[in-house]
Amino acid sequence: MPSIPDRKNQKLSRFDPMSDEELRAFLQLDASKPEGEASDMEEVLYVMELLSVRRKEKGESRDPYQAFEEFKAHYAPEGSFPEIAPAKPKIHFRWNRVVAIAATLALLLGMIMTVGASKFDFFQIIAKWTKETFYTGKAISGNQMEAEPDITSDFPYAELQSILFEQNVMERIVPTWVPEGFEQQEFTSYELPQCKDYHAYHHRGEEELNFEVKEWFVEVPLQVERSSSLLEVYTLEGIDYYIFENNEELQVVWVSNEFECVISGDISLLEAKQMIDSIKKD
Amino acid sequence: MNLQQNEEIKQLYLEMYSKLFDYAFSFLKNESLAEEAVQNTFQIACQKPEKVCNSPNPQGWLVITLKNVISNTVKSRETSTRILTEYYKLRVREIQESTDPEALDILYHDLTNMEEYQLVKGMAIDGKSYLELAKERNISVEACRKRMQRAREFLQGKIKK
Repeated sequence: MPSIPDRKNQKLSRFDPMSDEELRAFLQLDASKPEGEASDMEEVLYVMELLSVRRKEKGESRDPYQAFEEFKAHYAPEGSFPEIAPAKPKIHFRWNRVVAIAATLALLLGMIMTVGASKFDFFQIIAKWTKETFYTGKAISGNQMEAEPDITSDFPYAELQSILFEQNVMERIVPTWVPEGFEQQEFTSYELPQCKDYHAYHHRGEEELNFEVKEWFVEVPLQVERSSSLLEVYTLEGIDYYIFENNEELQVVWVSNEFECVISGDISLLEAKQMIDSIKKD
Repeated sequence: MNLQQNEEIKQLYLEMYSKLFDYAFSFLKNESLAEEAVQNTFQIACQKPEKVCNSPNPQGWLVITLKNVISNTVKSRETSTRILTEYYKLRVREIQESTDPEALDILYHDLTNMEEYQLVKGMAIDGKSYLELAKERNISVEACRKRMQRAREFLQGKIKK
């Protein structure tokens, strides 16, 4: 006899091949049920989720933030959802960047000493200081790693996913969902002797969202410490995702084989988990 | 609502808005009405925060509430349509019984300038949401609802005379 999860999957997966019209017809039928006749809420929510995913893929999602503003203006009880004072300038975030830059320099120096000057020509590394990013790219002729961000794509991290697929990387590490309103601004990648680094940057007004992946050629050096800022360890399909809170930002850190991944930015715990869930979804 | 309920309902809103819209639109086939049904659902959630926040399935609670909102929306519009139809029939009968050659023009003029008729017509015939009707009149949604109630009572009073 199939286990309960199997029966549930079969019950719900029958909706997957249905067209949008058929799914809407199902919802219409449910909405037409007379008062007192119960709905199969599991099926209804699954169909609603399916339609929502398909809308996102087509770029037809309605903006819930705009709708929420309408809600606050015309429908919400007076005094609910008060406006929060504008956040102070994120000096701490720039401070984090300074720390990250210093750490990267220390790493470079360490690699020079570890790998040896004969294998690694420091002067071939080009450092470009910009207002927003610190980018180091090794000048490899005919092997440019930097990708032009496809800002018209509705699929988050599409560039990174594309690069990984081209390298026959089947590891599922890339989120396929970001919270509504975030738009990709930049995608950079560079190669060092011991790892490749990919960095995608989204923003939503003053809010920032970063996703960084390091593909290590050596053993992953990351050691996750269970400090007081650890909010939760979210486990999904055998992988532990460590969720930290740091200066009003959330940071999700995990290791998957040779990949060290970090999501950080102005997202809620729920949004962080939704991003994690989207990694494993088809 | 306390702050935590505030935040929970806001997160539910952002999570469920598009999905609830799809559900409402599948039945109402009208974007404005579907939008309004979803907004009314969350309005109810704000009025009963302990019910939605303490529910074992807040998403399911919202769907059930939306179903009831849709049902009330349909009934309300059917009522408006019925009142409008009866009132229009009454005025047509008056024209037929009238000897005034300009009776039809008078009827058109009356209907065009009668706010109560135009308000109910906006809902029943034009399929407008309360928000759209409210914006046209530069009043709040709540004020529009009250005017609609009074307009229907006014027309019903005319029919019954």
